[in-house]
Order: sequence, then structure tokens, then C-alpha cells
Amino acid sequence: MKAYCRSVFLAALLASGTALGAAPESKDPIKLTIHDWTGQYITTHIMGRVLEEMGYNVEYQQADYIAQFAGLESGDLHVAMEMWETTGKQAMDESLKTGKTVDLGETGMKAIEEWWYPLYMKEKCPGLPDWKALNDCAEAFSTPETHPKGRYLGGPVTWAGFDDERAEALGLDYEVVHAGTDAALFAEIQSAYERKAPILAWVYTPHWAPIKFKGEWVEFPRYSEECYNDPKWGMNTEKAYDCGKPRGWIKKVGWKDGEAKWPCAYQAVRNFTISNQAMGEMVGEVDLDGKKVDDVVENWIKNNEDTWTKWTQCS
Amino acid sequence: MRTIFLALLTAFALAVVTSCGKDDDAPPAPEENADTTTAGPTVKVSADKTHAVQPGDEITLTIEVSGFTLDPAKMEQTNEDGVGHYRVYLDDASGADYLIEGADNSTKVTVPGDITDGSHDLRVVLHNNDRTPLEPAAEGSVLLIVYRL
Amino acid sequence: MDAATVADGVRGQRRPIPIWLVIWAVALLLTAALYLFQQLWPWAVTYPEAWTVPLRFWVSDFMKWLINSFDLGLFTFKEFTRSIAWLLQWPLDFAGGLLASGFKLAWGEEAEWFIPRLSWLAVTAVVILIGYQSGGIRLALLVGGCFLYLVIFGQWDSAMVTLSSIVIAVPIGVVLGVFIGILGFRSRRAERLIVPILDLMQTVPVFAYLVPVLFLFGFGPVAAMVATIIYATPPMVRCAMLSLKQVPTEIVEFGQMVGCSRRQLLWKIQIPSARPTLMVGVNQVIMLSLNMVIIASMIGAGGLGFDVLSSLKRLRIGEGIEAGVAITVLAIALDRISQGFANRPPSEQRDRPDSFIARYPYTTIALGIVIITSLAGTFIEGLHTFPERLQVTTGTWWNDLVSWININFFDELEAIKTWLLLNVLIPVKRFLLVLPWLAVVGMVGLAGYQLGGWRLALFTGSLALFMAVTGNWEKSMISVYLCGISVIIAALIGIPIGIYSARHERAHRVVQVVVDTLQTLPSFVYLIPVVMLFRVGDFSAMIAVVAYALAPAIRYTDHGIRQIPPSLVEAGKAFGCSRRQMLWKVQLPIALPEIMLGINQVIMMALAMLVITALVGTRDLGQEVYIALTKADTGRGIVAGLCVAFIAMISDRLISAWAQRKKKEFGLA
Repeated sequence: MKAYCRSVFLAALLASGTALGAAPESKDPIKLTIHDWTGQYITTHIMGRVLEEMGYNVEYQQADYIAQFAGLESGDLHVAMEMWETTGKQAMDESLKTGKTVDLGETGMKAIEEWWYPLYMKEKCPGLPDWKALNDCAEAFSTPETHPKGRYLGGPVTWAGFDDERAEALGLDYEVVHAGTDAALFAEIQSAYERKAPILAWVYTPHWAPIKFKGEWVEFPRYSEECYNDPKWGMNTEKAYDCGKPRGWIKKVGWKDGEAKWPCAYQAVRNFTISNQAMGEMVGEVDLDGKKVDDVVENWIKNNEDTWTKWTQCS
Repeated sequence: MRTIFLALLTAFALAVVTSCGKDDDAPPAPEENADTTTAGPTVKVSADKTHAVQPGDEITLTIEVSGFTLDPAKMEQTNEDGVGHYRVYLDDASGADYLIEGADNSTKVTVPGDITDGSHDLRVVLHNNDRTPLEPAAEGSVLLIVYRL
Repeated sequence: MDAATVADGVRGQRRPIPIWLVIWAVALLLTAALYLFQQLWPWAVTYPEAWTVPLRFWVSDFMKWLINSFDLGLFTFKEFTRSIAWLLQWPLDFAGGLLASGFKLAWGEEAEWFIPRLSWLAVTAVVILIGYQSGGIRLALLVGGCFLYLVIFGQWDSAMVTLSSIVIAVPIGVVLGVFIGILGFRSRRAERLIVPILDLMQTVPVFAYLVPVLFLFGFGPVAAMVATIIYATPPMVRCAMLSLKQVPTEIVEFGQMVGCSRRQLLWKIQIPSARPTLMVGVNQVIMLSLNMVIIASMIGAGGLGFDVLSSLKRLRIGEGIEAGVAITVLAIALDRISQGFANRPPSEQRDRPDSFIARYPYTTIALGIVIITSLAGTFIEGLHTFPERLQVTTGTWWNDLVSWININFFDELEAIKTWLLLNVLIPVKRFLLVLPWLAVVGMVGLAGYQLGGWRLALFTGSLALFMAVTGNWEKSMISVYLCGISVIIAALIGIPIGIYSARHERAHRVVQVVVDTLQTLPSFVYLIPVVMLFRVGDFSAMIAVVAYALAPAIRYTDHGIRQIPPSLVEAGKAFGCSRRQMLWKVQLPIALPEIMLGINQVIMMALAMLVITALVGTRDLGQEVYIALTKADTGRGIVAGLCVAFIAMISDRLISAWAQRKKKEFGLA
């Protein structure tokens, strides 16, 4: 009796599970991934609201920036609105190679992620922003633990960025420390900025940090693909990564089979563009002025109806 | 039975209290900026491009002054209280190191080619007719985020 | 233990030099030799990369196969787990709709009917009622206060999302735990299989198995709930097995005499008798589920955990603290309620009156309140959703406080930190890193042999070997260093506090509250201010670990001293011990095994914190697990997680064996 009940139960489970995955029909919710920074929240929610206006069901699912590729490939997640060339390029290229995900074009924003110092450090280190001045000022940027080497606080290890390799290739007298999350990174920057203490850290934009903290980015030799791949390129002929990080695109990426399922929605996602200007202003309003992010998104939708209705024209 | 009755009574009382409290807490009327006339001229600046600014970009500034009159015709004449023009400076520059001098409510500024990547202030500083800055200083600024692409 | 042995201890008789001292001296000499002459045996000092077993790739491949291709005949494993996820989605959605978001019922294309969620007043009133039923008027007031905090400080919406997840996860965990516990109780073979798995489940960091859970159950709140259940069920299993074993034989015999079948015996006699301990298990399930809230929100559970994380990412420390306190407050309310039900004496059987209202007075009142407040809520908005204007926040005050401390005290704090770093932390770290791995594995095995024979030696030695063989030796040593220093500091601070609170009743009450808060307030909340004051690095990580691990140090010391049989204390008094002598020569030595068990728990908690400290920026096993999570690399995470688990198990077994011996010596076992 027990065995029979068990097998009926399992069969019912199986039937229910597989039956749900059967015929694709467009009322299925489109899952947009959400990460934990405001800019991406705004981008994704704007796209979500537009898709809703078009009549689609939209669901927002929180997922990690890199780990989400597993979900995008398996169809658990459908669209990711912000993949940054500066940090996500490798993961994105690898995922595109599997053939299960598809590149949905640029968002129109251009990002920078680089070594950054507060303006008041310029007095202590007059050669800045030239990277060659860094070695002369290593002591100015040092802490008791790293003395006499300077200290650079980089992003989490998963953001890559090759800062360890960069310091070595350019012969910088600096110890590269990795913050565990960006919360820790910005906590240190805020702490140092309040005390006008030295700090050299990873700052990026679109983000609220360069608006709140006045500072400048270090000028390294400009990035090129050969720099990362060919050791012979650049001033250090034996090592690669002797240049700055790429300044680049922010792209959208999606689950490939979704295009067949919601063709018009995917077209709208491809058409989505937003400028650094609009994004920068909205991020400032939410993160610095304390406005509610959903209100800011609604505002944009209200004021830019002409723009987004153009995205919804399907061929 | 008694506990049931008491519980229902408490729920009802809470309901009444909450609804009464709701009306009394109307938000106070927003305060107007009352100090315009007594505290000197103020400047409000806005720009059409403040993010991902490139060296050489042309930025359109919209300048609003209150408690002051911008008069291009009066430049280089004797000082008058409450009349004058402005100069646009980059960051801490002062004196003759200005980007543009004028009196229009809307003006175009070109970002210098040697500007560093980072945060910069575009400051609009009010000047008297005889091209001396106002005392006490009156200025408004807008933040630019510059990075070469 | 008799008075004579106590007297011996007091007078301090000399004994001959034990042979083990010699053995250990030889072992240390060998280690020194290995280190000094490392050119001769470089392979014994630093584990050679060529000998590393690529276990993490095998595990990744296995997981890929398990997730993508494992076919059970009628359906694949993944489809099976996804079906379970789909099943779990229903109660979760129902609870979520009831408490947090309301229900949307759509009829066809056009019509949509929206049933709003329960109002804050209804939920709070029902909870107060439950509190009253569980522990009288005092508990009702406490619980009411807790929920009013949620309302007034604007935490209600997120708290309800979190609560709906807990409300589904806890019963599932309890039921699962009881069933597995019954299984372990009934069959010795099952128990031998279950107990090591429980050990692993409790010591492998959650982040390590998070990625497979995400793959198998889909990205979403259900996966987060499954991970919570996996994390929170082991204590329930242990409690179930323990409590069933502890049912007095007389009761069991009575049942058999009366003619109960095995089933009736279990359900009508054994489980009701075991209820107090079972309720302790329920309490533990609740507490652990709330501990998981932050981690669950990292994989999509939303709610209070998400609020804490996103506030802290924007450096809104005050808002993060308020959300963190909301978690603590929920934990305290649920904990006290479940403890109240555990401690209630079982109700006597009386003649059951006929009317429904008289039999279930509390349920009726609850239903009545829900109906009335819901009706009232449709007319008066403020009853349904607490008006924002009346909400309070202390957020900016906290931000200003942290800024003020930062600006005024940073240099002094930095001086202390630098001194500690340069003179204590870094030397210990370097020392542990240069120790030859072979020597460490050998000494761990030796300790196992001394305390528990060759079986324990084999166990501890092979677990230690695993860390070297999988290429994680350096990171394991850094984890050992971090936990070791933190445990020593937590012990140095906690044991004196525990001693003090054991002897002074008022201090005891205050210390209880502080300890409870330390254990339930999510550590990420105070981690970020700590980073602001002490920078990213080992020192900040150490502070976080010490804060979390302090609680068991204090608790177990307090408990151990209070547990000393009064006869021994009286014997000491009879011999004329002063209070000081009583403490140092009688109470502490006898309480030592209990205190060491507390240290054991301290070590476990310290290791559990390793992954949270990875969020600050360490370079140890915790960081490995965290990186694996963000890269969705199952093998890397599981192998590093196993290393953490093995450190925990080695220390646990060694300390338990030592404590057992000491207890036997004192005649207390």
C-alpha cells in the first residue's frame, strides 16, 4: 500500500512539473534579473514597466551578477539588463559561446572603473593623475600594515579587473587589497574622505560615489586588447596587463529561446537605450537625495513616453 | 466570554484612535525660501550634460539668479548694487582664469581639452559691473563627471 | 567524586612526569627539524602542487551530471527537484499573499479581483493573543512591543515577506526533522548514517551548497527557503532522536502493557512525553531560520535581509541597523513564544464542552479580530497599512554617530589595531603558514591518538590530510589562524564575564539580553561600521567573529559554574576555602569540561562566521566559498566548504574526547 501511494505521489509530481513546462505561451512571465546596485535596479524596472505597458507579465528575480549566467543559460532567468564590459566581459563571452544566451545590444551607457583618489590627495602628490606619480607617493598612500608600500583597495575578487597583475606589470610599489563586497569598499572610502585621509580605491560610474566624493581617476596607459593578451605590448615587454581597465559598454544579455517565445518583447529590449546623463541623475536622486527608487522610475516613464513608445514598435 | 468582549473592545478602540490620529497629522505647509531678499543674491545653475563629459564637449548652462540683475550692457561701467554679470570658472580657478564671461541666462561653455578624468565643478560666480567679484561672494555650481572614452 | 580527591587537588600533590609529555616534546622537535632542514624534504613543508588531487573539478563535473543528466527512469533528478520546488511554491505564495502582498485572482482576460493582505492590526493582535496563550500577559506585552516596533519603524512590509517564508520553512523543517529523528531512533543503522550527515550539514558553510540548490530548485524565494530548511533542520533531528531516547522506560513499558501497537506507542505516548525537548528543537529551527535571513536574501528571498544589504551598500548605516534590529526583534518574539509553548505543562484532560467557542476560545477571538479589523481596514486606511507619516526612523542619528566616532577616534583605534596586528596577529599568521603540513597533520593525528585511541587518530589525521591533498592547505591555515585568535580573544573576554554572571543574579539577567542580541543581530549590520573604523582586512574580520562567538563563551561558562553539584561546593566550604580559593581550585577545575564544551561551540560559531567575514575581505576558505558562489562553481565551493567542516569536526572531536576524559576523572560522567 505504502509503495503504491508513493509511486502515485511521484507520478503526480512528475506530471504536474512537466505539464507546466509544455506549450510555450506568451502569458508566461518574463523574468528580469535584479542585482544590488541602484543603477541596475532603475534600468531593469524601466524595462519592466515598458514591457508591462506592452501587455507582458513581468517578474523581477534577484540574482548574483556572475552566477546569473547559469540561470540565463537554463531558462530560469530571461533577461539581464546590465553586463559591464569592464568586469563582465569574460563571463559574458563564455556564456555566449554556449549558444544558450544571446547578446541583446548596448544600453548606450559607457562605464569607467579605475583607480581613484580624492582631490585633497593632489596636494600631497602633485604628479597625479599620471600613474607614474604613484610610485613617488607610495608612502603617502601607505598604511601601517603595508608600509613602506602604498595600499590600493580594489573591488571584490569576483569583479576581476586584474589589479594584482596591473600593479606587478607596471612595477607599482603598492599592495592590492580586495574588499569583500562593494559595501566594504565604499565604507572605507567614506571613512577616509570624512577624515581627509589618504585612500586609493576602485571607483566606478554610473554610480553615486563620484558624485558624493570629489576625486579623480588615475591615468594609466590606455587599454587595448593586445595589452591584456600580449605580454610584449606596452612598456613592460614581459608581462601583460600593463595598462588601465577598458572603458566600455554596458550590454543586455538574454536567454536565447526567449526570443522565440516573446519576440516583440525581445525586440523592445534590443531597442532600449538610456544615456549616462539620465542614469547619473536618477542614481543621484535615489542614492544621495533619498528619493524612492520606484517613484523615480515612474517619473521617467511618465516624462519620456515618446521615447519608450518607439521601443515598442515591433516589426 | 469576557476575554472575547474585551478583545473586541480593544480592537475597536485602536481603530478609532488610529483614524482620529490620521487627520491631525496633516503635513505642515512647505516653507518657502524666505531669505531671498534679506540674504543676498543667489545663483542656481543647471547643465544639459553632467555625466560622461568628454574634453572639448560643449555644455549649455542655464543660469537663474535671484536678488540680482544680469545686464550685459552695463559691463565695464561703474558699479551698481544688484546689477552685474557672471564668470564661469572650472574648479578652484579665480581671477582672470575664467572659461567665459557673460550675462545671458543660457550660455555655452567648452570643456577644456586638458581636463583630468574625475569630478569637477563648473562655478558661476557673480561679478560687479567693474569686473570685481561680489562681496560677500555669490555663486552657484554644477558637478561634472568627466572621463575620456 | 569524594572529598579526598578534592583535598588532593587542593594540596597539589606531585605526580611522576607522564610519558605523553615526552612524546609531545619529540613531536615538536621533529617539527622544528622539518622546518629548519626544509631543503632536504621540501615536499613535507609545502604541499607540492603536482600532488594535488583536482577534487573540485570532479565535484563540479559530478554536479553538472547530477543536475543536467541524472535520469531516474521516469524523470530526471532536476525535474524531480523542480517539481518539489513547484509544490513548495504554493504554500509560500499563500503565506506571502496573506501577510505581505495580497492575492490577485484573475478571471479571464479582463476581470481581476484583488484581495488585500491582512492588516497590521490583525496580525499584531493575533500575535499578541498567541503570546498571551503561550506565556501570559508579560509575554503578550513583549511580543506586542516587538511587532509594534516593526510597524512604527516602517519595517512591516519587509518583515512580513520574511515572516511568510519563516512560517512555511519552520513547520516543514520541524516535520522533516521529527520524521528523520524517528527513523534514527528506530534503526541503529539509520542513526549511524544520519549523524555524520547532520555533522556535515551543520558545519559546511551554507554558501557552499547554495549554488547546487539554485540550480536544482530554480532561482527564487523557493530555493532560498530550501537552503534555510537544510540549514535549520539538523538540530530538530538531533533533538528528536535524543528526546525519544530519553523517554523513561517505565512509560514505554506502561504503553506496552496497555496493549499499544508500535504506531500508537510512538504517536500517543513517546512523542507527547518527549515534547519539552522537541520544543527546544523547534526553537532552534526558528532561530537558525532567522540567522539565514541575510544569506537567503542574497539568492532572492527579499524581505528584511535584502533591506539590510541594500542599505549598507549605500552606506545608510542607520537604515541597515533598523532592518537588522527588526530581524532581532522577530527572532526574540518567535523564540519566546515557542519557548512559552515548550514550558507549558501539558493540558489536563477535561470534559470537552460542546460549543466551538468555548473549546477554542483563542482561535475564536483571533478570527473575530481578523474579521473586524479587515472590515474596519476597508473604511479606515490607517488600520490596514500604517500611515507613512506616523512612521519613525532613527537612521540619520546612527549615521552621524558612526561619522563622529570615525572623525574623532580613528587615530586612537588605529594605533590599537596596528599594535595588535604587528605584534600578535601577523606573527601568528606567519607562524602557522610556515609550519610544515606533514608535521601539522601528524600532530593532529597524535592528539587524536592520545585522547581517543587509534580510531580518533585516523579520523582527525585523514580529515587534516584532506585539506592538504585538495590544495587548500594555505587557506585552511589562514582560517585556523583567524578562528584561533578570535576564539582565544572571545574566551578571554567571555569566560570572566560568564564567571561574574554565574555569581551575580542581576548581572546574569542583563548578560542574557546582551547575548541574545549578539546572536540574532545580523553581523553584517555592524561589520560595515567596523570596516569604516578599522579598514578592510583581518582585524575587522576578527572583530566580527569575536562578537558572534562571545555568546556561547559566556553562556557555557555561566551554565558550567551553575551546574556544579552543590555537594562539591559544600565540601570546599567544609575545608575552609575562601571565595577566591573556591573559584580557582574547586569551581573552575570542575566546570572546566563544560567550559571547554562551550569553547567547542565557540569554535563552531567562529568557523560559521568565516563566510560572512569573506564579505569584508579575507583570503581564506570563507573567501573561496564566497568566490565559488558568485562564479556558480559548485566544485570549488563544496570542497572549500568541506575543509571548513573538517576543521570544525576535528576540533569538536578532540575537545569532546578531552572533556569526556576530564569528566570521568572527576567522576562526573
